Amino acid sequence: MSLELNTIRLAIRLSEGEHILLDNFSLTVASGEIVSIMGPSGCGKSTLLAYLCGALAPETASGSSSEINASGTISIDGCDVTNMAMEKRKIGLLFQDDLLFPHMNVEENLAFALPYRLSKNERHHRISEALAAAGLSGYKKSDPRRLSGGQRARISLMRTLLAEPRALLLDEPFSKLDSRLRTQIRDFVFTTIRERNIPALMVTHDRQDCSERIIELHRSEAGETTYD
Amino acid sequence: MINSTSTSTSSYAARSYSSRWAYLASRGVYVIPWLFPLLTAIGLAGIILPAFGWLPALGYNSFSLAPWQQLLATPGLWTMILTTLFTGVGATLLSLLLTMVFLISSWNTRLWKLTGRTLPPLLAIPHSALAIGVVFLLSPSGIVSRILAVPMDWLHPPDLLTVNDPWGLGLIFALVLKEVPFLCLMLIAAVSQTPIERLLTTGRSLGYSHLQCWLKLVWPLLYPKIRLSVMIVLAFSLSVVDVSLIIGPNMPPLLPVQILQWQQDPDPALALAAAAGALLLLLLVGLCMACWLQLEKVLTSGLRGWLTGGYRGRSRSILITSGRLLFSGLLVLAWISLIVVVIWSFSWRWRFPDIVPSDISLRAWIRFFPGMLEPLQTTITVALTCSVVGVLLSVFCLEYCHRLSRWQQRSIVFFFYLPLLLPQMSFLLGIQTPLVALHLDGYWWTVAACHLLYVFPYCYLSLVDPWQKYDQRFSHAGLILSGSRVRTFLKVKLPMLISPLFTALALGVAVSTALYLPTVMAGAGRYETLTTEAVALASGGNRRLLALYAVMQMLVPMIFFGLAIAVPRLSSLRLSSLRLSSLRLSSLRRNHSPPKRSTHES
Repeated sequence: MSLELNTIRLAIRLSEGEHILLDNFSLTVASGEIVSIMGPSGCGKSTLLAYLCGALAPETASGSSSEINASGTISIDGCDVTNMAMEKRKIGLLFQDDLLFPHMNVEENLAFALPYRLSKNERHHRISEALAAAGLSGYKKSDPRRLSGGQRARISLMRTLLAEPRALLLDEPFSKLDSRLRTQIRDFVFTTIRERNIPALMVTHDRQDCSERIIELHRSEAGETTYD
Repeated sequence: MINSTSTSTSSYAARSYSSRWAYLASRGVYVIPWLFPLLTAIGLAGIILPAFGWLPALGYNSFSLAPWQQLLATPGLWTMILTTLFTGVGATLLSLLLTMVFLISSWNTRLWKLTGRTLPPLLAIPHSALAIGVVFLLSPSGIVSRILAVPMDWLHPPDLLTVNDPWGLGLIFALVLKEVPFLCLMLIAAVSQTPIERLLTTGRSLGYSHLQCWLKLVWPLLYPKIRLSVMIVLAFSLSVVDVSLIIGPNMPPLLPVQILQWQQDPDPALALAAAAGALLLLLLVGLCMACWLQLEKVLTSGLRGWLTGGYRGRSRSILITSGRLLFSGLLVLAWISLIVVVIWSFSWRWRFPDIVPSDISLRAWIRFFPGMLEPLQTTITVALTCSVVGVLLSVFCLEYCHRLSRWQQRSIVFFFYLPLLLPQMSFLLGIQTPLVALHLDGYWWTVAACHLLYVFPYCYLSLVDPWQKYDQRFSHAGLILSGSRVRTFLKVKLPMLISPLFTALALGVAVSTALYLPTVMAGAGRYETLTTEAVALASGGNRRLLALYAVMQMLVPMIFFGLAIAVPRLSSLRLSSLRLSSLRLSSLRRNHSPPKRSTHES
């Protein structure tokens, strides 16, 4: 599996034209690779993730009414997903907030992500496996609100992975964790991603969180974003 | 630093406590937890005792089951009960369903913003005024018939029972038109406290369709936040009297209407039957609420499999578009019915099947307005009095209730809302019994006090949020500077909360203007308000006069809401102009003053 971005262009619509955030941005993330994107606030990191996951419709898509003009193709394993709805792309998301659903217990949160039409036994097996991988085997029936920040972060990752994503986007996933927990969770997330051979793109402010490849976005004096 | 601040704060607090007002107020708060349960106990005793034959004021001094025998022997009782349940539960279910449709189809769209802006005026309009509008819309000679007259070749109004129908469908429609805006506004407030965008993004990234995300992730989190409002709608719909009198079934009437008729009957024995009926209504409402809550539990556990089974659904934009159209249509119908009321008040000749009146004039206003002055005066004086008292009482509770223990706080808030959760007919009949026994009914202040029971919870409800959001550091700073808790409250906190206070006042006026039963029952028929007159006229044939009263019913709350928006703005303008002139003055002084001393010296 690989994630390919080709000639991505992001611009904010203004009354007197547009303000370009990112232009001609291309990138290939190999399977199991974690590419980090760093840059100052407002350079378009989160907008890029929104475009990749489908929260931001491309210009060509009908009914696009956002304040951002976005274009460029996104392919996963050679399959163009640019014009697909968000729910069809199979791109997993991990935010700085774990967003575990409070009206479901841990088991139900994980079951929510599992594919439809699995047998009952298979569902139980996959949930138990995911909990064991997260080191939280005894927490099936726990209320997510009673778990620690680190436990919630691990459950959140496992939930994302149970949906069998073909690529993963991480939006500052460790920024709310304290330094000790941060290292522990970061190692857990990166190891799991590599083990499962998923291409991952991470946006972060902190160089410590970065893995192998780092892309730094800079803002020129004219306000445009360049990268290296 | 923090210690010194807190020390100075406590010393000032101690000094200000010596003031008699603050001391009395702080003591008075301990009375509140007992006051509302006491009222509820009186209300319950006022129906339970007469329901079992004990009503000394009317000469019934022994307990018996005669009132129940009389009640059960009433012809058509079961039809009344079933129709009451059908209309009440049906209106609540439909309102909730339409509110859900509005949320799912319109969130974050232009319709959402437009609805947020257009609903408050619709909410301020009394139920009875809207019901009159629905009658003008749906009755055989109403607007719908007039529109259909040409294609259907009708020269006369059709012989159809479109309003006052035995099933109560017209009543359900009128209730839905009024309750959907209420639930939508409650929902809009709840939405602002829920991370909807994130929930939808997470759900969709896991492969779920837009609709499934709403149903499985957002609605289960939002519904508990509007549950109390749904219960209020259920209790109101099951016990509504004024709207039923205008548009509801009358052969036989709904149970609350029948109770009112028994209560107003000169035969004293029927007063006991009314009490038994009121107790039965109370039990029915309680049962419906219990069933509703139980059904929620059953659905929650029964739908667990569906919730976590992994069914992703498909994007069905047609459902979203239909939902948006349905909700927009409902809003448009509500506004059309109100516009028709206004047109009727100006129409002198409007023959069937004309779509517009052939003669528009001010004659109805000129002829009937002088006769409206007395009800108008009673409406405004009662509404203003109980709203001012309601706001003052709410402020007092919000300022002092935090001194009570947590369970006391919870219990008094529950008792505040109890009048809204109990059927009006039952609760007011219970309150009326001791009033009659003590010869306290039929006074202006009794009417105002009964209105206050319904006005106060709304004032309190609208002030809770601004009071919680107020940054206490402003008061701490004011206390340190002025040394007086009272002065800080009056000079710092109140001016900052002036806008919500005026809104609460206007809301109180709107609630009071809409009240029918409290005026009829506590006023012993001696006081006429716009609402009591409009309901009385609804059974007559003078549409212009009826429309006139309905227009006045709409105008009174609208004017007060207008003032609630304008007055704080004007006062802030005055303040900013004062600030500007003081700024000019200080800059003038600076220009003409000797050179400044060093910063250190200053």
